[in-house]
Amino acid sequence: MKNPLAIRELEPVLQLAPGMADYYCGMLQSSGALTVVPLFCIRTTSDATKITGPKTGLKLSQVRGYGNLELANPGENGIAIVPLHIGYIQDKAQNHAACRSAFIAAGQKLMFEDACCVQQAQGGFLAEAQQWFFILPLQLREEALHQRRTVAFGKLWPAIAKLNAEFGLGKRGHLELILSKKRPYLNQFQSRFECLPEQVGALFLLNGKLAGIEICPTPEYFAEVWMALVCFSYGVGAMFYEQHNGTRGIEGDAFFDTKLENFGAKLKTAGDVSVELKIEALRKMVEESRAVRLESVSNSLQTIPKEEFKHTEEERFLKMTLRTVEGKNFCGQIVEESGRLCYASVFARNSYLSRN
Amino acid sequence: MRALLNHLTTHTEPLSLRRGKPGQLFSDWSLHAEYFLRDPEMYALLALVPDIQPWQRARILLQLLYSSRKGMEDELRRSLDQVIVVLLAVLAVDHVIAVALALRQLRANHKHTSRSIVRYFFGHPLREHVMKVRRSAVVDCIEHALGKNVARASRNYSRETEDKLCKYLRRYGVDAGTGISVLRDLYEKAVENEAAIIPGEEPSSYRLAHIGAAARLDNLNERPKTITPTNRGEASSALVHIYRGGSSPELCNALEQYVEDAAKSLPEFHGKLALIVDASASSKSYGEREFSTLSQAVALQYILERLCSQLELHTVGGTGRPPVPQGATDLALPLLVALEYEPDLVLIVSDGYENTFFGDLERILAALPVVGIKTPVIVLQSKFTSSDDLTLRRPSHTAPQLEFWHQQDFEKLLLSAYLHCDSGVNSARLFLRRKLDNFCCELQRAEEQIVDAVIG
Repeated sequence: MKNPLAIRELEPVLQLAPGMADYYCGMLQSSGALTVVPLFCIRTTSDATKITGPKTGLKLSQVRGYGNLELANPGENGIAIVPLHIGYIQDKAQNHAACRSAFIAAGQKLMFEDACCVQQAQGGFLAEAQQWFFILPLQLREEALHQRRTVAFGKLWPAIAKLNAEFGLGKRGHLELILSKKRPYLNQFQSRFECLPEQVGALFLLNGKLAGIEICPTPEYFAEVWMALVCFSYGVGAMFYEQHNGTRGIEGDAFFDTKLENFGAKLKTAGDVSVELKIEALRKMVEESRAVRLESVSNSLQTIPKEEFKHTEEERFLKMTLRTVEGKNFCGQIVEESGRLCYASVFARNSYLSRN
Repeated sequence: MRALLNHLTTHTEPLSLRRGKPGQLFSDWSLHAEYFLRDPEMYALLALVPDIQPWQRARILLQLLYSSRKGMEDELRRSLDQVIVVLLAVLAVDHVIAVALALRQLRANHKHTSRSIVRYFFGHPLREHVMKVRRSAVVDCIEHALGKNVARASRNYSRETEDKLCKYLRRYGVDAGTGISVLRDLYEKAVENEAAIIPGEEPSSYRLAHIGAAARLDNLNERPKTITPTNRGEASSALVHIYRGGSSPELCNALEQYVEDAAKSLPEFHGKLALIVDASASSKSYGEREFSTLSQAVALQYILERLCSQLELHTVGGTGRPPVPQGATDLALPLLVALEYEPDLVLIVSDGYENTFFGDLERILAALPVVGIKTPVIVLQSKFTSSDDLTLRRPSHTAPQLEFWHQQDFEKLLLSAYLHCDSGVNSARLFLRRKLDNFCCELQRAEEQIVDAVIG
């Protein structure tokens, strides 16, 4: 079946992360409020700098005092790109998250002095042994990005307390309330959606509206960050819609019903029709209704408002540049190597998502 | 029959004794009576399916003992008698007493009714316990079965009365000497101290007398309290190790053997079966459950390949043998491919997560009757434990959904699925007849061993 979603044709999406023309879309996956469009890269990465993923190339080294998160790249070569808004959780220690992405060369340790504490009432510091990580929930990412370079470990507590209250949890700056109490629900996003072979990124849509673009340097990197993204970042966003606003079906769902009704009426007058023909007709109806739904997603992506993005260079490493992109509706960080996009985490602002 | 089976496994209302017509004894009397009239043998055989609620088995026993045998073929009578024997062995004594009292209230006094009740109470291995704790109920049951005058004649010690009683008891297949002694105990030891009758033994231990036989019938021999990926049945355990990378010849040979052994004790399917196995990336699962649900699904696939000679397999996502989990879940289009084969039954084995155009499977299932395709489609859901939360894992609300997590669930699972089509009903009937014969032989052997032990 032809997939009408081609990034090259999606001008409004291209503006969010320049260089996305090198990527193409796979067949979309949808479950509940969340739709995921897998992204694949048309070029090979053999000549690029070796970039390691967050599980294999990034270790939590220590937390030295509140708000100081130290990460290390224990490898002997290559470079680690810290996923934007990575956070670590451990029992009996205060959980921390980084507010920005960064480069960490092989053997290097990097102290994030602007990290945020995401567990208001918990003492203790994270130790090296615990490497379980998450990505901040979608609703907190805008605030976290805004607060990068601000040294104040409790800077995210008000936003976390607000989010907890929206889920009917205690109004405290304690992200653990969502990540633990809603864990059985959030974990299922890993099964509701599937990471495909060679997949390097994804477009995430909430109730048909673009909520974020995630692109990683390699399929291995994406596979390592997939669960953290789908379960704890966009999963929390989807959970809010599924539990509060209700799930809106993708346009085109009614298409099948109309076609079926017509076909059923034809059959009544047609006499004996072979099973083969009936199944062929059903297959055609399914494929057409899928095309309608793909078109609906494509149209939704086309309607992203055009806007001017402010690009702020944050950091360089050899030929790679880390930039913060900020627009009226979307913001995030991207990494380019010699003008080619190799990492992007760009997400919708809360005001854009809540707008009808 | 599938509606009845669903009812038998879920309806837990006890059999209560109320005055009135049969229909007033319990709410589902008419359902049982209707299915018994429609196909008495299959109705009775369904009592042998694992996980039938005990009170439903009691209702089946009541129906079999209440109904007349007039006009029935000898073979059918034999089958019903065998089912009665099995039910009397696997039901708790208190359940059987409830049935016997209900029969008394309904004034059911067919020959097979009286004979079964008398043999049960006179031959129960813990009858002294039963008669001590439930004496008045047992007296009522036996007086109804034998006749009040006959039962009470045991208190008359005259030679002539004893001879008559012996002759009468022999008609019921009861040893005359034992019978008279039991009856006298029943009437004369009524006032004795309960604990003094069998010192050292709990008088209520009779309540557990059926546990062993019931567990064997329900395949409950191995149900771990702590569930791990490797204690959910032998075949899936071997598959988990193979998936984890331990694909040695020994493991593969063992798997073959486990599959063969399992297939021997499961129902064959004599028809065309289409099997859709979801081996998408999500079926791999993660953490300590990694590969568990997929292994159980693949174990079911391997076993079904032996149980059905006309099986057509469609694997979604992964490839290979066993299939390596990968890709997205599209269950709708494979279902259409499967239906082209015009099977008698389609089984979709899945973890329940559909994500390629979620809802398409439901749409197709709803469309099938509209276009006149009547092939039954059943979703078989592979779980890690019996208590998995399936709220977000229901790809269809139209198709019947059956669940399994242990290899020992396969018997009930397959029988429930087979009952959705005619060829499956026949396959289920053949299997249950075989199971009935085997179980009766087993009970017979156990009885002989007890007799040998007593003589020895």
